[in-house]
Amino acid sequence: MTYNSFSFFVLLVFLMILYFSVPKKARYVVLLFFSQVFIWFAGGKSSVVFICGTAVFTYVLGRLIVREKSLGIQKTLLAIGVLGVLGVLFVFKYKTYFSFLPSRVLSVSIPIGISFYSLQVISYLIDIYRKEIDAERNILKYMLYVTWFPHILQGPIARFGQLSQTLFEGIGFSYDRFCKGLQLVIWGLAQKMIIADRAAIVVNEVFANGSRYGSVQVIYAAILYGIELYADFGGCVNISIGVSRIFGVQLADNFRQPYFATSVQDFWRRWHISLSSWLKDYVYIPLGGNRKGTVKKYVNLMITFLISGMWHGVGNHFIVWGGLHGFYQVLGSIVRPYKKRLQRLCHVREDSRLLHAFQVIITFILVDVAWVFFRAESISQACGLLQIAATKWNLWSLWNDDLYLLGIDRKETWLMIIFIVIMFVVDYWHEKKIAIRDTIAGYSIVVRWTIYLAILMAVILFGKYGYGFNAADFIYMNF
Amino acid sequence: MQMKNFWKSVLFIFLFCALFSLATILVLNKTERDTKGFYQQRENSIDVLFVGSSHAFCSFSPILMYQELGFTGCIRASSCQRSWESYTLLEESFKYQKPKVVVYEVMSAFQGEPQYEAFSREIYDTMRPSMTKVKGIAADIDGSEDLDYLSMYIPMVRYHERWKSLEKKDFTYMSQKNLLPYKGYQLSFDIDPATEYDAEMYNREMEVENCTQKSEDYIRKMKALCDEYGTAFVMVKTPTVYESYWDVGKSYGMQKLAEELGVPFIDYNMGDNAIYIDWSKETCDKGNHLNHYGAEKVTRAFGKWIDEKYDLPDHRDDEAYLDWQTAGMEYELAIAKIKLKETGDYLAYMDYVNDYFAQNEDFVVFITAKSNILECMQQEHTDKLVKLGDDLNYTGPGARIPNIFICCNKQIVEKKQQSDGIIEDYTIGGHHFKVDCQNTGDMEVCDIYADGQLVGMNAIGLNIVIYDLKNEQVLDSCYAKFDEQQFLNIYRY
Repeated sequence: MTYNSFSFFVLLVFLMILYFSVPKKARYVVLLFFSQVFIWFAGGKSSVVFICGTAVFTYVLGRLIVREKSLGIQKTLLAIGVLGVLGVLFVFKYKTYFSFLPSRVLSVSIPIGISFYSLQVISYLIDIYRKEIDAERNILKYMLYVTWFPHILQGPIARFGQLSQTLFEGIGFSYDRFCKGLQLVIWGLAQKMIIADRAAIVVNEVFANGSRYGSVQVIYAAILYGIELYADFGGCVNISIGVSRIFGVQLADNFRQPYFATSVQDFWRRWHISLSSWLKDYVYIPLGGNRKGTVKKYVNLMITFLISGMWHGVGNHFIVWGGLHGFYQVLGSIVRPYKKRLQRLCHVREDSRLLHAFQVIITFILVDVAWVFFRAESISQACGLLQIAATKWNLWSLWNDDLYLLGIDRKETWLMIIFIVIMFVVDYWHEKKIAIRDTIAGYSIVVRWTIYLAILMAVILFGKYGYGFNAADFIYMNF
Repeated sequence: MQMKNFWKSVLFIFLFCALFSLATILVLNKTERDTKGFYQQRENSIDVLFVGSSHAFCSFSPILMYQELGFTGCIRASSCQRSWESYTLLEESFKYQKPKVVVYEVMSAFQGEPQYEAFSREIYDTMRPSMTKVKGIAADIDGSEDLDYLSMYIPMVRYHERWKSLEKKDFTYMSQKNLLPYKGYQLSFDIDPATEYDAEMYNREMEVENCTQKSEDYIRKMKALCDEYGTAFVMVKTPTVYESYWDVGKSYGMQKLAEELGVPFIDYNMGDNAIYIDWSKETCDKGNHLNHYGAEKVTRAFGKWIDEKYDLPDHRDDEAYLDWQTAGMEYELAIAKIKLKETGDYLAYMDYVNDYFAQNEDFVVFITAKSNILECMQQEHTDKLVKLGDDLNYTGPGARIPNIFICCNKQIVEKKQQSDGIIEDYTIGGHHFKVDCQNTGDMEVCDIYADGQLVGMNAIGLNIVIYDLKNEQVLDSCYAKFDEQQFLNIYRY
């Protein structure tokens, strides 16, 4: 079960009926129960066991840290908690390197969302230790915080202080909130099923058989992978936030038009915001941040992004990907004064639209090159693809039908392009701070409903699902 | 305010469901064989209902039975139909029809398990929602890896990708009134002879072969259901020499079961009821199924037997059954369309033209000729043209002047002869036609265009183009010419 499966929506309907029928005080129990059901269906019994085990373990540690007066013991308890959680995460992620472990242990499948809930519980313990939050007394409420199903698969990595404000309240039904939540869900589904899953077909083909193709196909696939990730992750974030909103739960913003970023630093303020801020608060700043000189700042940046790479997946190519992003930022900091000087020399104003567009394009290219390492199976595969892109020119493929032979035909390709344009127009409006849903809500009911029904029918007719299509998991679900 | 929002939500859901249903209908139109046509039959108007596999829809022609014997029939067969599917279709049919006899073509008893997805969908995709459908789908899904509940109940899940291949006709399909033109019979004139079958296959001694328990259970349920409605149940095996599908052992098995059930079993392959099938001409796929020529034989034999046995009513003069007469005319027209294209004899060809196409508003007949071919024709040849309405009043011998004759729905649209050629435009049945006949010495060329498309490019002898206005395509384009023995024959380019 994932967020775009039919069974998920059936579950959601049952949850809504039950949630809004029980007394306010008991609503969090309903959410907890359904979260376990979701995890069971999505990841199996072992996922439920591991997630609940982690929740109980960190709950107990959190309570002990609060009770303990000695700073040293508090520190020890914190270290036990952090190392324990990281240890389990490490063993599961890198279990191929632990062949000495009993086969029964190795055969346990990785619990879903382990990368996300692990960071969540670590932040919980650290925040308690730092006395930024109080430890939750009610174990069921804490378990709900850890296992809340709309964010368990792909985040956002919620902080206890932020999420608990709305999660346990049992907020009553609001028609307006329901409609707005549903709109987000449908838009998320459109991004995932019409764009991301269609682009994935081309990407999978070219990345699997790169040597058969020329630079045009490889560049096309690399761009499409960037778009696939954007639509996949953005779509999932929209679904998560939309579903949470139906129940009055406010999830943190996790995705803010990242491809409109004008620098890689700006990109990380927009892409997976909750992860970026987690790494900043619990890795970069504790390492010293930018307080200990320029060189140390660069080293800290590199360490933070290398950890980010390791968190995303197993393999050297993920480390290279993280390293590239660290390098981009270090380089960006070094050349920033020269860039400004060049701008002044060329009489280019800071608010120039052309400069802005140029920066957006350059940022996209840098990020997209790094995505090749992210998507590839190994560093050598990524380098091979980049080499093809740079040397094996076949421009004629732009004019003949070669691009329609990569798994999706002409009609599907153009349909995908139309929806990509729509997605970026919508995000451009977001970027311009235009509240689209509020704008649509201001239209007459005929126009409004026509838009809603059109998107809904587009998902049903043009979405990739059903027979003959291997439903793609949300990409971040695998991290 | 809350009530207002509630009703708004209800309206939105209703609109969504309406759109969803419409879209489902659109994508479902691509399914080749379906059950929609059955629901268009007038309630309680069917005397004999056929269920079973493809052997049933290839072997019985209900319209032929109506034309020759007067009773009505409908075939609810589907490819590789399983007996539990036959049962489901029967149960569903009884909601709308009260047939006097149910005929079960027993091939389906041995079709095995599980059902293939495509064949299951022939039955369930367009079946109306009901518990019958729910139970039927469950019986099909039982043991199948191809089928899943969600896409069986909501076919959009399976077919949404068809948006890519939607055509104009898919948007008009849902408004078509007659989706079961031949009452379920599949009209096929294909000939693919059975060359390697064992002529003695039905004379061999074999052990009794029983069908699976599941099949038998559902056959018994069919019999019980018929008893409940006071309907006779008949088991039939139509002719086949496809040994991998049918043999003596299976026939014995069905005979035994029929005896246990106390119902007749008519076996057209062996025993007293065996009928002669010319397997070199009367099969469309090497002896597995019959083509129209074979089906006519089986239909006549079975029609006669069932009519006598159950004293079925004759509706031929019944005004309530006028739609069957119309269906009969359409059936004949469909046969004529195929036979016309197979005919090489001028006289027979012109009979089809006169009887079916010249007096039908859905067809235009173009005849162009060099005037001197008319000189060579005998009375019997020219009579066919006169019957069309052409008075043959053209310029005398050897003039070699192009002439043209166009008729549609018994009306003469054009009759013209011009020495310097004919270039004219016509609008017939909403379509634009252009005739461009030029006299260029030895080469007389006559091009006929329909809606800008070249549909006839004739030059030799008497040229005939029959254009199908309804389907917007040429039905036939040919020319008549005398052969060396001075027979006037039809030739095609």
